[in-house]
Amino acid sequence: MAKRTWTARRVGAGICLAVPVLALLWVPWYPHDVPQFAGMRFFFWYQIAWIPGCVAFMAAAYALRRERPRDRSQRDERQG
Amino acid sequence: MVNDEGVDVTALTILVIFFLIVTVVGFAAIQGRRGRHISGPPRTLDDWGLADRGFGALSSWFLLGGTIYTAYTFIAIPAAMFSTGAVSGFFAVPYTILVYPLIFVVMPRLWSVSHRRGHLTPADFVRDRYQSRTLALAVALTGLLATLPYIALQLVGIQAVFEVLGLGSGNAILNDLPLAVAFTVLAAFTYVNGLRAPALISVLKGGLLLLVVSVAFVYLPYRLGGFDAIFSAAREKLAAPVPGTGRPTGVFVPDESGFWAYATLALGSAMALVVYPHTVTAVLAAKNRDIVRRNARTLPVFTAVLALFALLGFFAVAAKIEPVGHDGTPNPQLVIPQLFADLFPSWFSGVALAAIAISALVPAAIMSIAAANLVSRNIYREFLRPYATARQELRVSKATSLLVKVGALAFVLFLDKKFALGFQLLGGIWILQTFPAIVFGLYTRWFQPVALLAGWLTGMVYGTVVAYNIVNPVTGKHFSGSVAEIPLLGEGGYIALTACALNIAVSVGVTLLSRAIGHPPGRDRTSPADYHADTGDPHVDPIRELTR
Repeated sequence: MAKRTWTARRVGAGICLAVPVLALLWVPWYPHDVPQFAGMRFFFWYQIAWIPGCVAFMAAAYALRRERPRDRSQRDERQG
Repeated sequence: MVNDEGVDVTALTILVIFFLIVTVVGFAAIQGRRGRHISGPPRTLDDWGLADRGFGALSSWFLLGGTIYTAYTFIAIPAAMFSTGAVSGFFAVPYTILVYPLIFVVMPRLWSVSHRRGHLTPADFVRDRYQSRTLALAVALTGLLATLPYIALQLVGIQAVFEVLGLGSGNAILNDLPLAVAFTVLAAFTYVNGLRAPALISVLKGGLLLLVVSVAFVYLPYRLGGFDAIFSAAREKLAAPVPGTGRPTGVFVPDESGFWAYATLALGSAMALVVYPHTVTAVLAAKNRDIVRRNARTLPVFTAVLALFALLGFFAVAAKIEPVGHDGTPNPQLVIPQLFADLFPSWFSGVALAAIAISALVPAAIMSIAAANLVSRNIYREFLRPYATARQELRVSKATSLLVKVGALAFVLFLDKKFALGFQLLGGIWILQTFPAIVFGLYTRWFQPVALLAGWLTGMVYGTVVAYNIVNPVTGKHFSGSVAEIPLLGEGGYIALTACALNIAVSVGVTLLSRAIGHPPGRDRTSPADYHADTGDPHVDPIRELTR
């Protein structure tokens, strides 16, 4: 894997991690009553919805950062 | 079934059964060292305090989850929702979501350098990175000061459970007997088995909490007339003016004046959690670097449990729960145990109360271990006996773990509980002041140790003074809130974060100044490769003369 791809993947992972953080820290977006979900006010279910949201974005970030190219050859050598 | 003295016997029996299970599990935990060809009690601090840094993905997952979500979150957060609403309660949901991206980024580096250099505590890392004993001592003492009231609050959580069960209404000695028994069990298995005991119990904790909250959410909305009725009742209660001040009781959904408070509470608490010694302990016990990220990815599942518990505070409003303590005064901390005791059959409320009590035992054990390691590593070995053997170090740690728990118990029994709450609030403010030294230190050695020390002191003093000046208008008590006006901005924000911003500003300023006058940057015992090291990498084994 080329070094440039790795940098791109790091940036991608960084963006994935930043999305849930910004979505929750920018409070003016969500203190509303509507739209409601099963009788729950928007304010509450928006934040609860970010629980699976955060899991999904972190899973993406994890997948992007999974293999460090530098370590890979060493690891293969050892297993081989 | 309730007997003459108001004790729910069925629920109590179930609670006792669960305590017995916990005791057996706690003492059996040491049997889990399969394949290591070791038997008998732990012999080194690494073994006792970090379970030999050997936890796989699943054990680590439960351990970290069991550490982060304390009984205090399951008691105090719903209590805050019940009495003052979303800003002081529901912020815990964004807080416990935000913490994971932060752990994902920061903790693998801390894990690697600690693994490589044999660090056991955050202060160990600071000591090696900056070669400054004073800075390391500051970090260690802050960690201790912040952890002690946190342990005390776990005991307050157990006490709330006993109080709702009807125990402790009798004479003064019987009053505190159940707490003392629970405490003795906790102290004993922590003393013997170290970190392995709470790790195994946290599996039970996770399962029970998931079960309890699922049942509550299937049954209660149906019983209380649906979410719409529940939320309307909460809104009505929180909007009602307080007799005396004329201001509304609380905040249902924050309006513009609460945006900053909400965001800073969430962010500041998340940042503080990363540097709490007990979180670091739970992270460092993982077997390899990858586990830290893998688990951060899926741990928000516990936040779902927390969010549902928080909403139970509103459920209690709709159910018209009246949490009144034995002394006859209203005590919102009792609201969740009371909700389960009032609305569920005895046997299930027994299970729910056991879940809450066990939730308290796990973090209390881990916190006492973390505090003990701070004492033995960063005070005893650093200042009192530099050539301490592994055996001496372990003995000091074990003794300290008992001592801090006795301290916490005394705190709860002999001091006003309100005092414990205020102290805990201060703990959150204090611990965040170690954030620059620890987290920035993981990325750069640019800061001068003396600058970080100056920043730390500024943040500590500022935070303490501002928190002291928050006076409850009704009771006239100090330390009665964690939100104060942010200077220059004019909005209300979490004091800890304002103090931390000041701390960073001072650290940057003093570093620039000290570089300008040509002060040498000092030494650094870590190397850049340490921050990426993983188990099994060539030439990467923990340095044994440190861990011994």
